[in-house]
Amino acid sequence: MSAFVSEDNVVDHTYSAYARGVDGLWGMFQWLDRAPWDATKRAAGTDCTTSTTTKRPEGDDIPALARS
Amino acid sequence: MNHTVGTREEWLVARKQLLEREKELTRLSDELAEERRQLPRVRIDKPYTFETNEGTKTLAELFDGRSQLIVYHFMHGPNTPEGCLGCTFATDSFNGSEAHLNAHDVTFVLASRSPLETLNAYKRRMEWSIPWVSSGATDFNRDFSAWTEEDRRNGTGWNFGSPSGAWVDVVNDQELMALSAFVLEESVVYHTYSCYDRGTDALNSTWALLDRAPKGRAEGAGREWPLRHDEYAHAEATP
Repeated sequence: MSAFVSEDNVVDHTYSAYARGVDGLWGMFQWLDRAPWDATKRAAGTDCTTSTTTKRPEGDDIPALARS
Repeated sequence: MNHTVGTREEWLVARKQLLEREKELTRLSDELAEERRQLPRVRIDKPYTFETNEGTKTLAELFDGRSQLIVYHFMHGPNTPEGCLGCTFATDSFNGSEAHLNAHDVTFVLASRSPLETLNAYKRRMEWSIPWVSSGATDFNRDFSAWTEEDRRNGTGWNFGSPSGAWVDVVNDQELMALSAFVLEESVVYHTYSCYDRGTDALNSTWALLDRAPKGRAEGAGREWPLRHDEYAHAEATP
């Protein structure tokens, strides 16, 4: 995601986030973080696209879309 | 608030510093999620019933064949017959997540004290798909805000007595806003987690987006906000 501000007809770029930086924007992950079971365990190992970042220390760099 | 205008190089340096702080928060958030799941579970034996579009259901039946249940206690009841604005704002953000949650062994419902037909009418107006049940005259909503008899007497139950949550008047039977999580194992329902107030903040992705917008939440800016999503056009037409 990228954020911009427009002031006096000038556009400034203010912010960008990637990978788990957009985690908070996905409401579903926030709900799963409050469910009784570990959301990451059920999916782990079924195929490479379902392994989630919480299981991997380098996971911050995995694109969020690859986790679904 | 004054903001500096910088070069791309200056922005990258500052942004990378911020990234380290964001990663700290992400990792802490993962640790917290694990700690939530380590809480002791409390067996629920009280025979709650709910009115649903599939008929009357027990708490165990609300799981709908899955092993986990999350209930969002939506403030729609005798003291908020129009439906709470904040809960409406939040539900706009939740709606649509239920298919993904269901496929992940989690049933997600809204529960309120208003009659089912009232809830259904509001749900149609808001164009939501999320299941919404009436806890009607049962103690369900109250029980999951006031945990002890003393809580019930002095009204300090909501958000475990945190002073910041004092705006909910439990003694005078005000509706409450909360999330409750349950697990079903061998036909027994256990309560696992509850949160209130800003504890539900992260569930609303509109807040998360505003936290990344240049001017943030801009609370106190004077404009009446949030409104129901079908009310903005009217509000703008009549300043």
